Amino acid sequence: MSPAPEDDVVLKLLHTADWHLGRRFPGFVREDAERKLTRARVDVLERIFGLAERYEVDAVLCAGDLFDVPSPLPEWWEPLVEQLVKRNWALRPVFLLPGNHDPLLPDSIWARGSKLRNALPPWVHVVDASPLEVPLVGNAVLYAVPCTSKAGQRDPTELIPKRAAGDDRIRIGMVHGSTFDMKDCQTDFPISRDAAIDRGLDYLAIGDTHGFRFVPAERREPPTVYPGAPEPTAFDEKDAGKVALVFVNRRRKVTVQPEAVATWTWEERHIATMAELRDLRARTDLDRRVLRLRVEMCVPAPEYEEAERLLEDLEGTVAKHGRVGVLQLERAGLVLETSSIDVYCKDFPDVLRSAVERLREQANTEDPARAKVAERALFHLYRLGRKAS
Amino acid sequence: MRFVKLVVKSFQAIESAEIELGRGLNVLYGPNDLGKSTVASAIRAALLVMPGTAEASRYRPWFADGGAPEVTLTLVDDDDRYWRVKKSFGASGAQAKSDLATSKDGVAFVHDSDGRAVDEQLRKLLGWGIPSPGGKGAPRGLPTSFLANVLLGEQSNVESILAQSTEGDGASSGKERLRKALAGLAEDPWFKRVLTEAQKKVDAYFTPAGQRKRGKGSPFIQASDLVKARGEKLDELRRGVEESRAVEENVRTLRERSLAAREACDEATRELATLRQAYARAAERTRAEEKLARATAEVEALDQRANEVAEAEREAKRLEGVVASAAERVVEASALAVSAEEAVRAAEDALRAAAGEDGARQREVNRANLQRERAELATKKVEAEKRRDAAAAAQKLAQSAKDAGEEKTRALEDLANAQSGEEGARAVLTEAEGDLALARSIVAYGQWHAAEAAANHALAARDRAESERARSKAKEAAASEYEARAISLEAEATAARALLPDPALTKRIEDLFQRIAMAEASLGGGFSIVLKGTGKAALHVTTDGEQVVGGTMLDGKLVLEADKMASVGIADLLDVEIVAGAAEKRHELERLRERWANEALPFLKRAGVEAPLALREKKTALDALDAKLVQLRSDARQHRTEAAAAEAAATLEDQRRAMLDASAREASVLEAKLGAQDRALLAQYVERLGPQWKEQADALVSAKEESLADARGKLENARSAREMAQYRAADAEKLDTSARAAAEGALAALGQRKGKSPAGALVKLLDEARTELDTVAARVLVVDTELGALEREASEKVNAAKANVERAEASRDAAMAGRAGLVQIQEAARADLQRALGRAEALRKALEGADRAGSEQRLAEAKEAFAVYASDSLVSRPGAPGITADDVTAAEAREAEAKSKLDECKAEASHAEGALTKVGGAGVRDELLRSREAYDLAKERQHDLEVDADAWRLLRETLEEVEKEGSTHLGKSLAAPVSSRLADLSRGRYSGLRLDQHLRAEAMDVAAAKASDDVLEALSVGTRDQVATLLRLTVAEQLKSAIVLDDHLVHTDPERLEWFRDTLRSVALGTQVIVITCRPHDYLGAFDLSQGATRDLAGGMMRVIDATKVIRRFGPAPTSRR
Repeated sequence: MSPAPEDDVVLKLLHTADWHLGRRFPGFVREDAERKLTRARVDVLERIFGLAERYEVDAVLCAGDLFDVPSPLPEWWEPLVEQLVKRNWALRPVFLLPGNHDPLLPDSIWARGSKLRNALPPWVHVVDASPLEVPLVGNAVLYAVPCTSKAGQRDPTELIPKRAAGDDRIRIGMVHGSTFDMKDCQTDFPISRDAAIDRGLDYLAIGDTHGFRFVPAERREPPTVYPGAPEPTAFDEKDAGKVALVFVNRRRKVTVQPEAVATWTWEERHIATMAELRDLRARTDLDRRVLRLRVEMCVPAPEYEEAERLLEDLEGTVAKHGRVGVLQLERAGLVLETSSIDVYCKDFPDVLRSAVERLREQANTEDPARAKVAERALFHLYRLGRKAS
Repeated sequence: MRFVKLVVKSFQAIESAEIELGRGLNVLYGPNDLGKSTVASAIRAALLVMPGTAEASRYRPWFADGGAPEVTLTLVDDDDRYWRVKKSFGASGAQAKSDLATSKDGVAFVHDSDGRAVDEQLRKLLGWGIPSPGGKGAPRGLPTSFLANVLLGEQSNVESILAQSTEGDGASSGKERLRKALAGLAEDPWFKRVLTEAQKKVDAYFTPAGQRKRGKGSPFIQASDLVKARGEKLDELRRGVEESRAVEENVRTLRERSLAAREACDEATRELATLRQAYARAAERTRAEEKLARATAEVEALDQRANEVAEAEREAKRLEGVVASAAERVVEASALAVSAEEAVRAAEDALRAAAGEDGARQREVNRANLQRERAELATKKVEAEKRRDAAAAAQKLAQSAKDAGEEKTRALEDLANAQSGEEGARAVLTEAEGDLALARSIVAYGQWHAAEAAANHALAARDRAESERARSKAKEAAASEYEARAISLEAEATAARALLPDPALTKRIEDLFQRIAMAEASLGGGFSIVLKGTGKAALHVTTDGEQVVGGTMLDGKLVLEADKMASVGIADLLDVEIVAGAAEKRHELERLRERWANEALPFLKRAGVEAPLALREKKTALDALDAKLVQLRSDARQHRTEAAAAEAAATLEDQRRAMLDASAREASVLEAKLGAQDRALLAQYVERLGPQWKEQADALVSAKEESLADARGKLENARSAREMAQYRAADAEKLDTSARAAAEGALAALGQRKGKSPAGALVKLLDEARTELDTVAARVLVVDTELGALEREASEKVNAAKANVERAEASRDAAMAGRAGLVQIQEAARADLQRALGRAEALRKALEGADRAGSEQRLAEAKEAFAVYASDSLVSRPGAPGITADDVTAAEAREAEAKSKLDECKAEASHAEGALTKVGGAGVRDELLRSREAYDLAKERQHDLEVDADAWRLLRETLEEVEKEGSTHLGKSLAAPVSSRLADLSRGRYSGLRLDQHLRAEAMDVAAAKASDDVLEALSVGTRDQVATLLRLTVAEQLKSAIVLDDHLVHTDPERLEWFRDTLRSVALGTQVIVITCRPHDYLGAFDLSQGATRDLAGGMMRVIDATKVIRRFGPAPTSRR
């Protein structure tokens, strides 16, 4: 069945948000891990803009929180400029919207006259009016409202004029804020879930939360969409790592297609047995994983030693890469099974066996802190004893 | 520990002795009975015995005049600290003294303690297991212990050491010291490796004092710093979140409050509008009602007039009937009167016939007069009644005219009031327009003033920006200068450092230098060279590095003394180098010097120095240079930071200026708007409005605009009221004119002149008519009485005739009267008719003059207008209280209050929203979550590190404990080296000595025999002495403590004695050994014997002391039998 002429797509958009360029990840102790995750936010720009070229979109909407702070260092905005400058998109405008992390402040990166603003090509528009109204191809118009502070209590969509009678243009909105449909949501820049309907918008592009979703979840017309962060930033983000491709036909019917662009997949694992740990070690897809690994098991000394070795393989050392791309290891639950330790130390000299016995007694005390110290000492003794033999 | 010097006075057999001891083997030799063993006893006394005790009494000199025994012993402890103990063992308390002094260099001593404290300090220092003096239960006699016996054992009890152990010690210090010293011997290699690794870890984590390392690079500090930094960051973010939350909550609250205030304001506005509308509607309704009432009254008045006209016309018609009837009856009455007259005349004729007398005639005349008078009176009465009635009617018309006049007056007054109200409303409107203009001027002035201030701020910002930029440049220049200097210094330091050896090499060079110095020190001992010349030759001699002969021609004998080395050059024939010292030490020195030449000198040369100390100095200088470099860079960074801050401040000022420039432009526009207005006055107003002047002025403008609208409404109402009053006045004017015309007509009918007071005239006329009526009535009564009297005078006939006449006359009179009455009635009816016709005409004319159609139109309009309010819920609710102006005023006050509250809330909300730009919002909350996670992780890492460190320490401690508590056997540890030496001594006959854990000898292992303690018991005295001596030597060697052997090998054969001689020299390399012997050849070669009091051999490692030269005993000195 061939589509009717009115089904022709007249407007194609790429909608992205929440890049958080410059975000640091102090939860990852190792500097190289933190650096990987921070750098990933810059690397994903190439894929986002490449996608825009591949789909030949008419405009790119970047819906806020593009930087993690209002005044990022040049090392964070220069790569963005570089990515944009090399595109030469005279007919594909890019709209950069200040969000609550990088609001439009007099001294922020978005302020007129800033180095970033001066370096941007003319077809890149920073949204610095409330609202900014710009005509798009296909008899369409964009209304965008920036955040001008880190926190706010006004619905930014209220600044978008309602559809006037007789206005049959495709109306696109772009704001940054929180909708009310999320559990425990904060009320910063609250956006009414019916804003698109109230304002007569055919598509409302929003940014703030990091997972791709429609607002409300069941409504598709007119769509209100969070594309989510193109690179996830936390373990609890559902469906992150995407951008939204938006197609609008002559009848103003909108189709939204999520596209994955992320490099890193964030995963949480709980390990309770050596078999699980060995299986994890054998996996081949770990190099692009950000893995939070919680180990909780009580094992005898040889397995404890093996577990130590496997964990070292996964995490890496100063001298060698780990198998996991980025590992956040919680190993407090890895416990040495001390009751059988003497079996593994029977060939030790008497004096060392006496020490083993003493430490084992202490490891069985009721004071958990002392017991933990004794247990660790026991493992050190076991390992040193074996090594020294 | 080693002894340095012993000075003894008056001690048993010794009168005096002064012995300086070498650091290695000391052989104090001399004949028996010289007091050699007393020297050992003196050492024990100095170290162990408190003056004043019973034991001390044993030291009394053998000769009574020798004075109090006195011993002074100088020793060096394990830390190379000098101690000098001086004890005087006098019998009396005053003579029993102890003094302990200490020194770092052995030259300058300072007092440490005296009295009892001396022995406390000494026993602590020695650590031999001897309890502190005077302790409860302390044994009497010479304080002793296992180690005291080992190290200072007496000559008479050599082998007793084999039966002794540490169990008998009074204090644990000896055991502890032994345990530490023998620990190295005790360790299992496996155990040792484990312990070593554990110790390395502990050393990495902890200081020697057991504290966690806190220095640079400490993992604890790193972890702690990380936790601290993240904790501080966390606290900062928490504060940020709290602040943000507070601000957002505040904004939310204020917005809610603002919304509530807006709702309240809207409600108040609605209420006010409703009230105003209702009030206006009520006023309109009242006006409509009044208009309706007036229109109704007007129409009713017209109806009344029409009724009056109809009534008047009906009355006129009725009166016309009356007049016509009266005319008919007058005609009838005239006819009747004519016939009655005729009857009278007949009766009179009869009377005259009957009477015929004069009297009767007179009476008749009188009666006729009276009757005439009475008829006149009746006429007068009628006329008076007419006048009275006409006056009353005129009075009524005059009253109507008066009422109409009063109505007109009231209407005119109302009109005047309405005009006055309109003028007042117009004045209010003018005033409101003026107020509004002033309020707008205030706003304009305030804006101009703010813009002007902004412009000034912009100028100030520009100045500040220039100042900051200048400051930034200065700081940049300073930073560049510092950096340039730093680069120069760094290049200098790098070049200098490149010439220096690295620290490890420096350390090796220093060690080498030290070892060479030590090796050189160990050489020497002195020698002499005797040169006997047989001819003349050029001679060059240097001793110990100093040239003593240069170019001198030798002729004869030359004796040269040197300590370590000498070189002799004889012409060009021969160069002789002579070096003192043992061969191995010389070779060692040569090796060291060779190493020095190869390993150290090139680096020293490269570094441009000659000695390692200079290297240190250069390194110190470089460190200072580094510090300066760091300081310079720090200064440069500081200046760069300050420059960047100044530049940022300048940029900020630029941005502010840019933002304020727009205000400056706006200021000129606003200034033009202000024109020539009184700005001082406007400034006063703005100042009076305070900081919120804009909101206040805007509110003022709004209020004035409302006042203006209100004034316009009021003016419109006043205009409407004035028009209504004008209409009423015109209406009243018409009514008044018609009423006045009617009244004047009536007055004219009464003969009153126009212009006279009609009311007074009418009253007068009425009064006159009533008076006249009263007068006529009274006269009629008199006339009637007189007529009665006349009547009574007639006779019966006459009377009858008279009566006939009278009856005829009466009939005639009655007829006449009837006719007259009828005529009067007719006249009156005619008059009434005329009046009625006049009134009807006047009324008709008035009625015709009134605009009934207009009145009816107005009534219809008024009804229609009023009908609107019948369905108006605002004004037609049954029982609804009336809305008054006070209600409206109250509502206006409520609205103003609500608006004020709203403005206040909006201002607060706007102010609070301004704070939103300063807080973090969701971003900082998000960052807080990440920061908390990072903090928890850092804490966990820190905890893990602490657990790991504690685990290593626990492991080390546990290993030490198990080692200490018997898992290692001191006896076994010590037995090993003893057994090894014993096997060597006995050429394998005895393979081992077994010692229990308290070092008590248990058994001897004999080769090819079963170990048995019986063997130990069965050993010869000599062998037992040797075993005991080996045991003592090994203990001393392990403790690195001086040992005194007082002729302990007297039962040893020469072969074993030679073995012992070598062993003693070997042990003495690390431990001071003092051998007291009467058989010096057992330990010395023939040429070793001292030529003087003392002689140092083997590079100072052996000192030979001739006891006879250093000890002076009481009485004659013993002589050698040699």
